[in-house]
Amino acid sequence: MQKEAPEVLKGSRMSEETVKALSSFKDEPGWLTEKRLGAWRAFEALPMPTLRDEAWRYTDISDVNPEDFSPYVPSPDVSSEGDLPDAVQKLIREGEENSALLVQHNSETTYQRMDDELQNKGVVFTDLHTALREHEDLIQEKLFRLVPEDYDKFSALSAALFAGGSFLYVPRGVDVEVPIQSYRWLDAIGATMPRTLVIVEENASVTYIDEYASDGTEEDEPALSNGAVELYVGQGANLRYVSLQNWGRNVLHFNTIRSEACRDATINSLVVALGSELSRTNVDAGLAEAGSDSEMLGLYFADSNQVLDHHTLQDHLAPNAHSDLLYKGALRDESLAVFSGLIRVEPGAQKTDAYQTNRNLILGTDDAMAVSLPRLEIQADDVKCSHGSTTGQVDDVELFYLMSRGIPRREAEKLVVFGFFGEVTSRIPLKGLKDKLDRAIEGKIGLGFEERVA
Amino acid sequence: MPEDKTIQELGLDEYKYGFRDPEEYFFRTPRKGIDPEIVAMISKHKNEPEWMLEFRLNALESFLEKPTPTWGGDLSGMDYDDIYYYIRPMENQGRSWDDVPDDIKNTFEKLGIPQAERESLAGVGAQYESEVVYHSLKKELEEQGVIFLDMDGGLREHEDIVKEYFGTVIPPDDNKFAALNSAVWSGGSFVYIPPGVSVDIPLQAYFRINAENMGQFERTLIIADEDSYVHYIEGCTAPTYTTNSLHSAVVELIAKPGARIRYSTIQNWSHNTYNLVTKRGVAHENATIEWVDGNLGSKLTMKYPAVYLVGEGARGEILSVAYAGDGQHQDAGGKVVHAAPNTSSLITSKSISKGTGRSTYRGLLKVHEGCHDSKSRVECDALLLDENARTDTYPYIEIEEKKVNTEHEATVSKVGEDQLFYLMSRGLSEEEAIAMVVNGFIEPIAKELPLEYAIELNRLIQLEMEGSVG
Repeated sequence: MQKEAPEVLKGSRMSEETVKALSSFKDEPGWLTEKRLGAWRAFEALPMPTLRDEAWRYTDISDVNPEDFSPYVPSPDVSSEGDLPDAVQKLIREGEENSALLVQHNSETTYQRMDDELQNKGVVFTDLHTALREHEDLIQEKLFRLVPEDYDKFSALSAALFAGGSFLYVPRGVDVEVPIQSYRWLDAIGATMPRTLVIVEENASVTYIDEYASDGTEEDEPALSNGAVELYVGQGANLRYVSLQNWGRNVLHFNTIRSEACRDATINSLVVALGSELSRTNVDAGLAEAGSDSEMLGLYFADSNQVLDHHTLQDHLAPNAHSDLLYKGALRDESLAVFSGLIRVEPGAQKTDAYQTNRNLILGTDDAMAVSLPRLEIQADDVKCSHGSTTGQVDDVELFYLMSRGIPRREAEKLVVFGFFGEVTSRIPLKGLKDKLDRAIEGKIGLGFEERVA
Repeated sequence: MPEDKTIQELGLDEYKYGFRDPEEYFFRTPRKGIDPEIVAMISKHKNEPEWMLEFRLNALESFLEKPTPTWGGDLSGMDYDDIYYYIRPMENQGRSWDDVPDDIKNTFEKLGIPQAERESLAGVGAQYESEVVYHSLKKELEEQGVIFLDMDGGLREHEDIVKEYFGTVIPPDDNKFAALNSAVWSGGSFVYIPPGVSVDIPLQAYFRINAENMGQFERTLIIADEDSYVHYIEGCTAPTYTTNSLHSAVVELIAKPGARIRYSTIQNWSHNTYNLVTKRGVAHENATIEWVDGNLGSKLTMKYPAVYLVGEGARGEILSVAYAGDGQHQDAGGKVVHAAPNTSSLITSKSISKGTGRSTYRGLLKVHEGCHDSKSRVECDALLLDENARTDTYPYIEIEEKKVNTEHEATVSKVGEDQLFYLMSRGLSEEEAIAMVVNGFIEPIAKELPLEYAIELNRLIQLEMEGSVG
C-alpha cells in the first residue's frame, strides 16, 4: 500500500525542496539525501546544452526546460497483474517470456513478481527504494558510480530526483535462463525518472530488458523521461541488456546507459528507439579489464518530426578486449536521426579489436536528415580498429529483383526494409522481442508510406 | 653550430632542411602585433586601392571578435602579439633567374628549385619572406592568355578580376584565421586560365618563412574559366627557429563549368610552426576540383581543404597524407559539400603517427536536400608506428537527401609483423623494411604527385624514419 506523497512533490516544478521532500518521503538514509542534494546543485550549475556544444550539435533542446515538469507522479495501487492498465497487460503478453517482472507506472513501482527458482538461487530483483532498505551497502558502493551527477545535465537531474527504478542482482555462478523484464508505463503529464542498477557477479549470466511505453500523442502536453542505467558485469559473467523505447509522441526521452565489464566478461546491448518526440540516448561500454567483450546493437526508425539521437562510446581501457557495434536506422518524413559513435583506445590497451558500423536508410522523402559521426581516438599502436558508415535509399536493383519475381512494389519495399533491419534483429536470440520489433517496423513503414514512395 | 644546441634544449626534432640565411629586411612593420594602424600601414605600403584597405579593416574586426577555436589542436601557445605581420624581403620582384640575389638563390638551390627550373617547369613564383621575389612565366603561357602573378601584382594589374572574386569563396569572417589572413595578407599567387586553355605544365610556387617570429599570410586565388585545366603546386620548407611561428594562408579556387583545377601541396614547415590554413574551392557545372595535400612538418597543422559542388555534375576529390612525428599534431582532413544534383566526391586520407605524434582526420561530408544521385566516399587509413602515438578520426556526415549513396570507412593498424618478416627475410634491415611499408602505405597519394614531388615525399618520409627502430 502506498502512502500519500507530499504536495510539494506533485507540484509542477522541480526544486531543492522537491529533492528533500522526495528523499524524506522515501525514508532514505542521510548519505543518499546528501547525494541527491549535491546532484541537484550540479544540475543547477550546469548550463543547458546548446547546438554550440559538440555533443548536442544537431539536437536542438533549446525549448526543453526539464525543471518545469512535475517531479513525481503517483500511480494507482495494484495487487495482481490483472489490475494493471490494459495497455500494460498487452505489452507483457506480447513481450518476451520472462522469469521476473517489474512494472513502474509513472513514478512508482506498482507490480513485481519473480519465479521461486530465482528467489532460491539468491537473485534479487526489486525497485530501487526497496533495494536500498535491504541491500544498502551494495547500492551505496555502486549507485551513481557509472552514471555520476557530473556526466551531464540530465544525469545530474536523474541522480537528484530518480524514483522507482529497478535493481537486479545475480549472485556468483547463477545462470538465469529466462529473461527478466521491467516495463515503464507513463499515463500522466509530468516526469518519470527511473534508474536501473544491474550487478552480475562472477560467472553469472542473465538477460535483462527495460521497456518504455506510453500511449500519449503529439496533441498531449509534453512529458519527460529521464533515465540512467548502470550495468556491472563481473569476471567471466555475461549480461545481455535491452532498452526498448516506444514512448508516445508527447515524451522527451533522455537516457544514459553505461556498463563496466571485468576480466573476460561479456556485455551485449541492444538499444531500440521507436517512439517519443525527441530521444537522446548515450550508450557507453567500458571494457575495463583484459578479455572483455561487448556487442552493441542499435535500431531506430524515425518518422514525422521525430528526433532520435544516439551517442555511443566503446571505451577500451584494457588490452585484449573486443567490441563490435552495429547501429542501423531508417528515416522518413521530416525526421532527424543522429548517430555519433566513438571508439576510444586508451594508452596501453594493446591488442584491442574494435569495430563500428552505422547505416542509415532514407525512405521516400527528401525532408529527413541523417547525421553520422563515427569517430576514433586511438592511443595504442597494436590494435585493429575500423569503422564504416553509409547512408542511402532503398536500392533500385533490390526492388527490381523482387518486383521481377511478381512482388508488388509496396511489398518489395517492405521486404527491403525488413532485410535492412534483419542484420540487427537476427543477432538477438529473443523471439518475443524480435516479433515485437518486426511489428513495430511494419507499423512504421505502413504509416502513409505508399503515397510517399517516389 | 650554436643553433643545434638551442634545438636540442627545446627537444625539437632536428629539422633536416633547417638551414637559414642572414636576415636582411627591405621593409617590415615597426612593431609586433596587430591593430588597424598596422593593417593600414601594410595596405599603404602596397599602394592598394581603397576597397582593399576596407576589406582588410573589416576582416581585422572579425579576427578580433572571433574566439580562438577550442577544438582541433592546442592553440594555447599562440601569441598574436609576438608576431610581425608584414615583412618585405630585401630584393624586389625578379624577372629572370639571373636577377635573383645570391643568398636567396642558395636557399632555393638547397630546396631543389634550380633543378625544377632546368627541367623547364613553367612558372616559378617563389615566395621568400612575405613577397614573391622571383617569378618567371613561359612565353608560351603568356601567349595563351594565362595570368600567373603574385597576388599583389594581380591586384595591381587585374584589379577588376580580383575585385570580383577575392574573398568570395572564403569570406573574411569565415573563421578566425581566414579573418587574420584577410587583414594582413601578403603575397601568394593569382592565377587566371582563360576558357578552353589547358596548361599542361604544373605551375609552381615555393614558400619559405625566414624571419624569426614572423607570420606568413599568403593569399592565393585561382580562377579556371570554362573548360580549362590547371595544376598548381605549392611546396613549403622552412628553417627551424626557437620561437613559435605562424603560417596562416587562404587559398580560393574557382572552377567554372567544365574546368578542372588540381592543387597539390607538400607542407614541411619546421616543427615550431603553427600551420593554420583555409583552403576552399567552388566547382561549377561539370567542373572538377582536386586537392592533393601532404602534411609533414609544423608543430600543429589545422587544414581541411574543401570543395563546394555547386553545379550539376561537379566532382571533388581530396587526397590527404599526414605524417606526425614526435611532438607534432597533424589535424587535417577534408570537406565536401554537395549542393547540386549528380555530384560526386572522394576523400582519401592516409596518416602516419610516430613517437608521440598525433594525427587527426577531421572531415565533413554534407549532402543538401535536392542533390539527388550524388555519390560520395570517404576513406581514412591510419598507421601507428609507436605505442605512444595517437590517431583520431572525426568524420562528420550530414545527409539531407535520400537518393544518394555515401560511404565512409576508416581503419587503424600498425606495420604488420608478417610484412616486416617478409622484407627482412629478403635481406632488408628492419629500418629499411619499415620505411618501405610506410612508402607503400602512402603510395596511392604519392602517385598522384608530379615525379619530383613524389620523390621528395618518399625521401622526406625516409629521413623521418631514420632511427625509428631502437
